[in-house]
Amino acid sequence: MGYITGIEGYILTVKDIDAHLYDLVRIGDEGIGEVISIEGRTYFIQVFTPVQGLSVGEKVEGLGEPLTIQLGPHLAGHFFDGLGANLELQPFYKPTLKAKITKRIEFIPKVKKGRKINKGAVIGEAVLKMGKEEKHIPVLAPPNVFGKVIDIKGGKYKIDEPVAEIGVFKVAMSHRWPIRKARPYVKHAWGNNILLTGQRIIDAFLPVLKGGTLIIPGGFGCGKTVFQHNFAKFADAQKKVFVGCGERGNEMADFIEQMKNGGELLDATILTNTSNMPLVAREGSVYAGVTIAEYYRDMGYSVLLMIDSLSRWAEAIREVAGIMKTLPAEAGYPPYLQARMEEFFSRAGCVKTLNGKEGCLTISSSVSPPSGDFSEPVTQYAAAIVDNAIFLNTELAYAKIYPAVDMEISFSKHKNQLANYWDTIDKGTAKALQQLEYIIHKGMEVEKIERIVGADALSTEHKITLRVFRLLRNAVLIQNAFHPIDRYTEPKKLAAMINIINLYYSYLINLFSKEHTLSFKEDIEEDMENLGTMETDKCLSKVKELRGRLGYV
Amino acid sequence: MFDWRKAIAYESLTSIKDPVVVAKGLNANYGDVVVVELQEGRRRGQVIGIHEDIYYIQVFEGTEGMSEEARIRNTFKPITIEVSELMLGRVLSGLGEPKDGKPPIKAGKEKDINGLILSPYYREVPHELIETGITSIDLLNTLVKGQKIAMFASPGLAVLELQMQILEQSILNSSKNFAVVFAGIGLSHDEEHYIFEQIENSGIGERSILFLNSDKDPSMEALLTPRIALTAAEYLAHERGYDVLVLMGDITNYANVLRNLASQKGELTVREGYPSYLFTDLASIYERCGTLQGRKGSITQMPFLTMPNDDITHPVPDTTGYISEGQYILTRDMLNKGVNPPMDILNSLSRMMHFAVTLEQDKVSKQVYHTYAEGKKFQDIANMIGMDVLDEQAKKFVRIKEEMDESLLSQGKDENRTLKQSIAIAKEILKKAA
Repeated sequence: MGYITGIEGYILTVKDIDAHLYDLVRIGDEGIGEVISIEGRTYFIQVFTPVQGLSVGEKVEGLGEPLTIQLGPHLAGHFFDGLGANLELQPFYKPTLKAKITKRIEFIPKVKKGRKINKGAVIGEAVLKMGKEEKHIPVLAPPNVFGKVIDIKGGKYKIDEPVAEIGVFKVAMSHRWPIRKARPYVKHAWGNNILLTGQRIIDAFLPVLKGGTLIIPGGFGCGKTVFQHNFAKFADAQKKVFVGCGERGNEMADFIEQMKNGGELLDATILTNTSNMPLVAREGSVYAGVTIAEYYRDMGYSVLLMIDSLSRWAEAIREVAGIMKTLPAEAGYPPYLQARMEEFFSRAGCVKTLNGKEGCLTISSSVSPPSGDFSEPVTQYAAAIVDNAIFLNTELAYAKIYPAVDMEISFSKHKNQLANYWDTIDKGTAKALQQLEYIIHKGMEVEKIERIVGADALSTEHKITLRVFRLLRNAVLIQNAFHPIDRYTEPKKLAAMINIINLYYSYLINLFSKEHTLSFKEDIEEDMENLGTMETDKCLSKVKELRGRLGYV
Repeated sequence: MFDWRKAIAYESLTSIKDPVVVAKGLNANYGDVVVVELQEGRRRGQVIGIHEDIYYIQVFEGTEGMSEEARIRNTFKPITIEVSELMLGRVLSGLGEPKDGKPPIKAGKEKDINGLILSPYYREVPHELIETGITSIDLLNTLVKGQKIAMFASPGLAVLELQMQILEQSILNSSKNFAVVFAGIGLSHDEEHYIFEQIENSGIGERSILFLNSDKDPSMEALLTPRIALTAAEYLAHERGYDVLVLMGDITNYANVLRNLASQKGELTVREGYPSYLFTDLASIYERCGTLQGRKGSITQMPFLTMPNDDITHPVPDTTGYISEGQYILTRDMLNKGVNPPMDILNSLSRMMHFAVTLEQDKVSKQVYHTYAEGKKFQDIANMIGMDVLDEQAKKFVRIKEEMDESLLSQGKDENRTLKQSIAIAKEILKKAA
């Protein structure tokens, strides 16, 4: 048993304790902390519970295990703090490491007595209920459990009561897993599917790969929260895990309310550690989230993990490093921040799971750069790691262009790989997208020229490019997150919208090269701008009509 | 308040580095309040670091004039304040002691000033508006019960006048128990004088508590004032069912004291000398608002801060913007145009507004915004190359925008406009745009 020799901020120095790096410790009767550094016989502990009231000499005991989270069917549809304690128990929050789940969940065995099973195998199903909704999700043998099924019985159990006896192990519906350790799988698989989001600018021009990584950086006031909530709601992942890391309490309440009313709650797990909840747990919440997401991945699902925001996680690391007197690198962040970030994002990907299924984990995270300045370290480190970066620009937001995606600097590394998808929806769309993407970049350039020389001085090609760029922006890129139809666009509709605008561009170019005239069809443009708010069927027939009006059959 | 009799252990100081002193063998807990005994009186401090038998103590009243002979003793208590409904109608110091010549408040409940954390699961989504009687707030950037909206101002604007007006006028229609808590941080002599004058002239009424931290008070006290005020507000809200509006500021003064302390402690600083924990620290203040489902009582915050050099990207407004649910921006530019309160409505925002307003208000406010933005656009062009280049339609927008500046966005210091009146004025002006 060790004892405290020093206290500063959330960091304790402790002597004579029996613990390894990253082991959990109990401080006094109720306090919980984690060993983050060892120097000789001195241990540095970061504390998850309040530090106030602790004193030198207080006993500290190593718990012999790292920080773990309980993974099980109780996670579906519920709300937890950053370390997995249920938030639904009392209105005033108190940090604790106990999940405190007492309800019983029905277990249906899927393997017979006497069969041999491997690590991570599906041994049964848990029945989830919420209101009238009912869903079954697999119950996995923990990754370290294997052997002959000696006993297994269906029925209603608490989540930590054994439902089976396998080899030398007693297995419950839930098991614990250390949050800082990636869960094992057989091998990495080559992801080749698009993660549709219903957000036109993303699906068309910045497509996300299932199993990929994504950041959404943006200063305050650029519509980041609304954009993210819509992204979260409509992304076509089978399971979604949200981590509110150091963000606003009222916005989390709004999000929780939306999720409750959305009817998809059973496919979601929500961890929230708002900005006034313990700092150190904010750091851990991101790892707890990715561990839960991996657990769903191991069931063979396509999973989306959303972090809001990565900056708060990095700041928590910076605060702890500051107290530890770590020599800072950029902007006060410790030199190891980028390595930690890489390690974290590397937990995304498609894998062949231990039980032979394919599961994909996509990680998406917002970034909140100070003063909206993208040159700061967290944005830069993350942008160097991820597959997609969707930068939100405050100036566009002021100009009421929502989502305020800055197409000049945003990127998707999987654009070419995923282009084929669009041809399976409607042949020729991939080519149209390529053409329109050129128009976006050219159009932004011409817009700058126009500001200097005036609209009349532009060449005819430039006039056409600018006209189509603006049409594209109003019709496709701008999307009203609050409009019941416009807020989500399915692929068929998006492909039709893309193709008709591209056709209009060809029409203008043809007309000019053949007859040397320039005549914009204002009525057709106006109709195209209204496509977003039309139901898919109506949109498709409208597009057909517009093709006719342009002289194409 | 602090119970002096319980203090027992006496130790002497080993070093002094304003505002931190070091003592040996104090036998204190982290966060304990200690008393430093000097010949001329007592000062209070708090244990902010322990290393074996060495204790680091932050002295709130400053270390000026201290020597190593000063004696120090422990109270074995965190910083607490006695709260009670009797605080309503009182003017108190930044530490909660009487400043109005009346006797101290007794028989209250003792509360830790670090307050409560609401579980996000139990938070109610803000949906009910508080009327402040100010058109640019009520009609265009509604303050919603349970939220926090910060007010950012250019240096030297008469924000205090606006705050006093809001303090006097605010109402929540559904609530019989509406209270206002005001926390002045680093108030100048003139500002305090103004507040006392207001109190004498209008009487702050039975529904308010004023905590006044003056710039003459020891600077460390500024770190306690918002927490003490919020502790009182939380008691009224969560234990007594009041709907409390908390006005506080200047948060830039607060942040500068925090910066000073960090630098004295030799801590890592990140942006313009502010410590790495500026975000966490400000969040621990701003997040102390909200409403709980199925319970009476709420806290709504309107913190105010100065934007140094009018710079909204300065660390204090920038950090605040990431926590606050919108912002009211008051600029010298608007004041120079004769708009008072000088709110730049185009850059102001209330994120929760759509939860709280009627369809009619939503429509009217959007029309005002649209018309005003158009007018502003043409006005900017006219300012550059003259009014003559504008066509009739554009000139009309400019005229309407100017009329909005004059009669909709401007109002007198004593003018309490109901939301209904604001909507009516807006509609009248919008008619001319049609």
